[in-house]
Amino acid sequence: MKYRNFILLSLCCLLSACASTAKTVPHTKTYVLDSDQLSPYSNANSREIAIQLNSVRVANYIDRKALITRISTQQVTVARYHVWGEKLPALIHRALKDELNRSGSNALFVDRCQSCVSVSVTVDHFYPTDKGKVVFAGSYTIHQNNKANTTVPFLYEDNLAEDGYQESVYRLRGLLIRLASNLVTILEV
Amino acid sequence: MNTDHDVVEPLLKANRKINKIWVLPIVAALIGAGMVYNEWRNRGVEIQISFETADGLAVGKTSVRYRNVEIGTVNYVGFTDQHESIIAKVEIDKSMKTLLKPDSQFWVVRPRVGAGGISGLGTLLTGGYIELSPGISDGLRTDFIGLESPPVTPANADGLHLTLRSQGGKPLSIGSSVTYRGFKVGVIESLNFDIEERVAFYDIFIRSPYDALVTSNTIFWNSSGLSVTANAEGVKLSLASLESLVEGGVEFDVPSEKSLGQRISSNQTFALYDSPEGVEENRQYEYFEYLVLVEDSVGGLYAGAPVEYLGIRVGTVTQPYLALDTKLDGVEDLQADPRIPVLVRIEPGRVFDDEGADLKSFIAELEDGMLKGLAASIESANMLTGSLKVSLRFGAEPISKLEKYGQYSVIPSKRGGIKAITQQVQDLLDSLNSLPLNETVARTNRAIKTADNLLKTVEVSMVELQTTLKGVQPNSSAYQALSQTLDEMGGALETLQPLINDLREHPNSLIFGKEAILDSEPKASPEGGSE
Repeated sequence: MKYRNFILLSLCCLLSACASTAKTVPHTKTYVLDSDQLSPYSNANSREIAIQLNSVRVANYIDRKALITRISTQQVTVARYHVWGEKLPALIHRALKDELNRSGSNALFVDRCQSCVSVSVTVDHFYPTDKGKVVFAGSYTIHQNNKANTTVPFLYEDNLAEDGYQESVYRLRGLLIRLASNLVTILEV
Repeated sequence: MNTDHDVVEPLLKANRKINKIWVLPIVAALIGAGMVYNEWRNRGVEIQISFETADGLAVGKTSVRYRNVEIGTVNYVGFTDQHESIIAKVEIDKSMKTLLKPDSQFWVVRPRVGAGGISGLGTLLTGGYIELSPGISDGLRTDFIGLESPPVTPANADGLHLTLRSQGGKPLSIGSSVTYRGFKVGVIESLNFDIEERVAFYDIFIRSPYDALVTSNTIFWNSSGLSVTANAEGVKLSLASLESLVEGGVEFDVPSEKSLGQRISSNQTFALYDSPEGVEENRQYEYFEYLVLVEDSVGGLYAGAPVEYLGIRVGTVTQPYLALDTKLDGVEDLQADPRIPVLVRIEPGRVFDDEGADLKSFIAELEDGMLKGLAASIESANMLTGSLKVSLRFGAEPISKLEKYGQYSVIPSKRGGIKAITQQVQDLLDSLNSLPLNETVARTNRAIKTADNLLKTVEVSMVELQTTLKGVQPNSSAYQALSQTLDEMGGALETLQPLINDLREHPNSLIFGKEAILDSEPKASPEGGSE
């Protein structure tokens, strides 16, 4: 009798939990770095020069699922409900290759080619700050046959016109376009 | 006194007149005497020559010639008193008397065929004649012994006569060549075999000016036939000349390591060696004789075999087995002492120069070495022929006193290399025989068969492993699927990270819920964004 009362009391407690209402939880937002224009590149088949864009290397602290925000010089915060739709290196690589092919008219940037010039990009910073800016910094290296490799650091910044990660991703995408334009100029293609 | 008879005796008066008739006989007698005197005065010198046979000799017909000029005629052919040979009496022209020297030579010229060629064919038609070779000594001789064959060299030839002493080897014949570096400079004049010494003597003649090549250090060797030498440099075939191959020959030279020496001007006796290489081997040295009592077999050990010290020849084996009288001191019969007594000569001259060979000091040093462990052993001299040699080397136990065997001192002996190797090989073969080879081979075969099966299994496994590895290569679908799964798991864990943090900070939030904390999103810049 004594044990029966205890069991009944426990079941009632559990049942009361089912009666409680869930707290309001925001939806998780997923971001990609796609361009506004999803049309194919122009004259892709007639380009005579092929340039290999190697895999993009991303610093470990930003190579994560969630987006981050730098809140001070030595501190970042990781978002809970804002995540990248894919591994960040793959996102940056695809977006950068897309912008390079759109910016240049003589060369076709591909993932792999034989005996061709190749470009490697290393990303050290790719995030918004709590000061209303987005930062995209790192270096790129140009590998040419029978020539010494050329490594050039870069740093691009932009201001956020609106609040939120949506705006931040949009601005970061704009910084990728600036890097692509710079590379096309450097490679003279 | 005159009264009775007065008779007057007649007065006789001699008739002193000679009859004129006697003039004729007297003149005839004077003429005859003159003729006799003239005949006596012009008469030649009568000599007699003995030959073994009268072949080619005819009274009144056979002439005596010198340089093919007739200088006499055979007057008489008859036997000696014992009928052992024949005598030919020959009258030589008086003017040719000076040719009859004590060393002048006569021989009958008749057709001859020999190794040196064919001669005397002309006598087939004209008949034989006696040839004279005048000598060079002084005096007159009328009794000669004729040669049965023509002399190899004229008695008055200018050159050098030598005698060679040979202890055996290839035979030589009269007329055989004597060569110097392949050039014929002389001939063998005669040969003689001394029964007492059992050696052959060859008289040779070396014509001028080549006699100057013979010096005190000259060595002579028999160059007859072919000489085949096989050594580490290959096979060497040497032939002095075709003539020497047929009839033999002698060659001489001065060894390169020696000086020329003094020139030889008179007849001397030289040793005749079988080969130039055999000069050192057969040279006669001063020696001391020792005995080696051998425990091994002496089959293959021969008289003349070398005795070596660390590969340097120091002596010669004289007798491989020396039978001594068992009554002598230290000598026992074979039953009591089965060791074989081998007589050897130690010849210091082989090691030192003639001037430097001190026999006594060498022997003293040798015997001191024996006391300190120097011993003799029988070793193989030639693996091909099986010949043996005596080898001296240190390594035996030192001894306090040299053993005596009869009158000989004994060199300590130890088992030779051949015997020792043979014994070791025998021991090895015995050990091999005692091994369970059949069982071992059977086990080995089984192990090999098992290993073979194992290898086949491994081969199959390797093929399967290769197939498996191909399935998980980076380009394979399995690898890509696994990589994708791992990425998704990483993403899921990253997604769960906030929940885990909430549970750690508010454990009851799982039941009672928790107020959601919104992310702090970036704020717009006061300066506004660029277009």
